Amino acid sequence: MNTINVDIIERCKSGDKEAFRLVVKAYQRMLFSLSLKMLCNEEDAKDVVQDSFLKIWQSIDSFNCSNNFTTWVYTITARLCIDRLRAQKKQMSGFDDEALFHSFVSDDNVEHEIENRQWVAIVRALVGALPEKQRLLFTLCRLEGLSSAEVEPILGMNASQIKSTLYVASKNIREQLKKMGYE
Amino acid sequence: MNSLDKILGRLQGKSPAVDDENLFVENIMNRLPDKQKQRRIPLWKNLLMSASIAAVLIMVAYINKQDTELVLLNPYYTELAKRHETDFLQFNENSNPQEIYEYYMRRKPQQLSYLQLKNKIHEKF
Repeated sequence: MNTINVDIIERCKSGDKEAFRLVVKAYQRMLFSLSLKMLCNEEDAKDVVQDSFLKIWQSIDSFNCSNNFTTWVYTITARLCIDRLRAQKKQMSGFDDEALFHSFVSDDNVEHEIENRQWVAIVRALVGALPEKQRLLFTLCRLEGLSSAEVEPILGMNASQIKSTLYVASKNIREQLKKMGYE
Repeated sequence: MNSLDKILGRLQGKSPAVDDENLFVENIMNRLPDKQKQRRIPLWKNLLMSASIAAVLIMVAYINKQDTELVLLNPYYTELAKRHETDFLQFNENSNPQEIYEYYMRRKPQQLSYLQLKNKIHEKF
């Protein structure tokens, strides 16, 4: 997880835009990654990241520096993603670019960079059919690499709930992959 | 190792990114409104300030009213008004100051302050 200096947060609280630029630079990739994996649409993801930073800027005064800033930032973006998904009422089951997913899985070169289009295909294949909460949890824990303790405040779940929900999500994804011919 | 773990292993350490990160950051920065730092005033201070302002306003209105009445009811200014203000020409030295005041209030609903009326009379004098 990224970390940002308390001094920079204090400067942001006093309205210093240059300090906030450092925050944007430090977190934009992380928030875009989460948003793209949640929304599976690059433009929507960019919009949500912009809205997230706007919200962070407007409410940074209320941030308590004794809390984890990264968790707070993640929470804001995760909520905005969920709001957008609900507003769009998108059904994520099934995906059009199955070929991209197959080409990723069959490619033996692990060093290849993954394009955003391919990311969308992979994420749709893995979590597209999952319910909202399982999807967010799986994205945060398995795709973004956050620990259970880091996810707890974001989702408002305790460790055992996280463990069981993650188990169910992984089971569902394995079944989905099996249907697609991957054991 | 099953497919899911294999896929996750290959995704590890990689993350999607926007094409032009600098432009993206600039777009975000351009959308930020200026922040005006607002000092939070405690409620008791706020109430005290409001009460003080209200008291001052009431006092000013009262003094202003009293001054106008005093000016018009003061025989010296009543006399000046009678002699120099066109509006008051219908009155003579025997007129009741209260009547002059009431006439003045009917004709000039926007009250003049003590100083304004005094200056006005002195301009004519």
